[in-house]
Amino acid sequence: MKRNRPKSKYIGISAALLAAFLIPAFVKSPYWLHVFITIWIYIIVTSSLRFTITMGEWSFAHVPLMGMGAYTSALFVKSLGLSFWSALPLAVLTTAAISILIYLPCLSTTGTFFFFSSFAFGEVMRLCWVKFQNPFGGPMGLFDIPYPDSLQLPILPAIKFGPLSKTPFYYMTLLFMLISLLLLYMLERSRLGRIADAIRESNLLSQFVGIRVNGYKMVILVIGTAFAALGGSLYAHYFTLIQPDDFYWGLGVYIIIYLVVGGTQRFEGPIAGVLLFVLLRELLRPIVMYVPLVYGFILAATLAFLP
Amino acid sequence: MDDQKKRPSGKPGILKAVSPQPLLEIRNLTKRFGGLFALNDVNFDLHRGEILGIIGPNGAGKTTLYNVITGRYRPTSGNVLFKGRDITGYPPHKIVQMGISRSFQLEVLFTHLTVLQHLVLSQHLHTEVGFLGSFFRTAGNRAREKATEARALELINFVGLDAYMDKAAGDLSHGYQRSLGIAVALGTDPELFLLDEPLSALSPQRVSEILDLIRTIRDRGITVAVIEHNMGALFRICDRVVVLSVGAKIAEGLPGEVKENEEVIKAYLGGDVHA
Repeated sequence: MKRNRPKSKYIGISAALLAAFLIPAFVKSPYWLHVFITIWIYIIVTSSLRFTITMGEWSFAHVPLMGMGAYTSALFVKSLGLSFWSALPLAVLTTAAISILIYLPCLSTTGTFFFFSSFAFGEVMRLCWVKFQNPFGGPMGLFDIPYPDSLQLPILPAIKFGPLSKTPFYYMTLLFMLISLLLLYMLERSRLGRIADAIRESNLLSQFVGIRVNGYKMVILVIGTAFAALGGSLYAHYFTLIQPDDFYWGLGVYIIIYLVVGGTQRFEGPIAGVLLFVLLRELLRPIVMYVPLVYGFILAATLAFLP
Repeated sequence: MDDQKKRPSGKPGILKAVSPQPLLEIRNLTKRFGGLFALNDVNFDLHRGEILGIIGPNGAGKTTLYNVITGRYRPTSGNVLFKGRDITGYPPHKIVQMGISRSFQLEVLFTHLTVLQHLVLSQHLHTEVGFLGSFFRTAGNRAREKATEARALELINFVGLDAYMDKAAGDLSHGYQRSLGIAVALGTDPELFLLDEPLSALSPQRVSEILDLIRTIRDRGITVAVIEHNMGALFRICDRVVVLSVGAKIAEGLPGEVKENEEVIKAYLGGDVHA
């Protein structure tokens, strides 16, 4: 609601953008580029989850829907022979349509019940990938997913995506993340964002000022899902291998930890959360088996000591 | 008490002849929760421009009546007609769209939002701010946003909350929350306003302020129904009274008539109806 943003904020954003664009110039290690690529993808997923929770319901089907985006995108390319650049929007649309079917029954509940029913539908999706060899590849998942087709932009030489260099992936995921964040920010600031606030604050009063509560909840969930599917599609074509367990409930818990520790109130929250935890994980490589323990302590400390 | 004149209960009030088409018609409305009749075959009309008082002992079904009218509950049987149209079982947001608004017994507010935000949201149905417009912040939309805000300020001024415009609803005192609840309901631009115990737990001074407010609302052309336990105060403003007891209507008429109705006195356990 702040009308006049302090100048320092613009400077901060510009500095962060500059740093993000310059990282590949200084970081030559493909490993660290890989870390940042996963960070950009997780920021898309976590920020879109934050967008959906602004209306007060926590969906646990968000990560499985990201998986659905990954699977549909991979299948559009592998089975139907489409180019990545057309499979990506198609996967986003298909997954958004699937999310309507999933959330329709879930939305007859609220609160904890919504959380658990969305969890149940998420598991249904995961078990479909496990059980149906065709087309989902069963427990082994899908492999040999093609890299994105090379991109010919005017002036610049063709951009080729492949195993040799991570830099094109880096810039592709970074750009998709920035576009997603911009769209999510505008959505949150728009009238839809105000309505989400109203629904979160009081479901009952919202109805009595004439808001179609479940209709708007659905719109918000479907928009959030579209961004999760975008993240999933990027994931599939970057890793070229996806398995049902990539999108299991544990990842959903991690995403929620990123979001809660980063802060749900502020737009920057999920960005900070993802950066903190993914980088922390890299620091803790030597004691990787204790990572969940450390995450748990951080979560508990955040809940106990921060407002 | 025995020497009181017995009147047949449920006799339609004399105002009935004034307007041919009642604004709201309650027809044989019954709501059962399991074996309990919260409403049992209730009938009455609400006419344009009147203030109707709805009284009855605790558990008489008054709030259930509002919940059925406004679509929170579906009636077991019977109908609710608004401007001659059957609106039984419409969902709340549709009822509000039709022009019926309500306030709540315990204040239901957007706790963390400011007073101003409440009144902008309350105009949800009448806001022409397009979604794409608000997304891209077009000039036309900003003008419409201004109009919405101007109307919000008008409502804030109407209920006297100017000084608290930017305060969160949760931080307001009980009395101001009450005013805010009324302002939010008015923001939906209703033809019929159902108030649920607007006077409870208020200081005597606030009581008369709210009474004046209700009168002003009626004078602005909004028909009003008021559920209230404070009968002395209620009878100062209402044109007619409907009395419910254990889910059934036991009396209807002018405040003076109802006060002396034997069944009404009996329903209040013989206790004196203070007025």
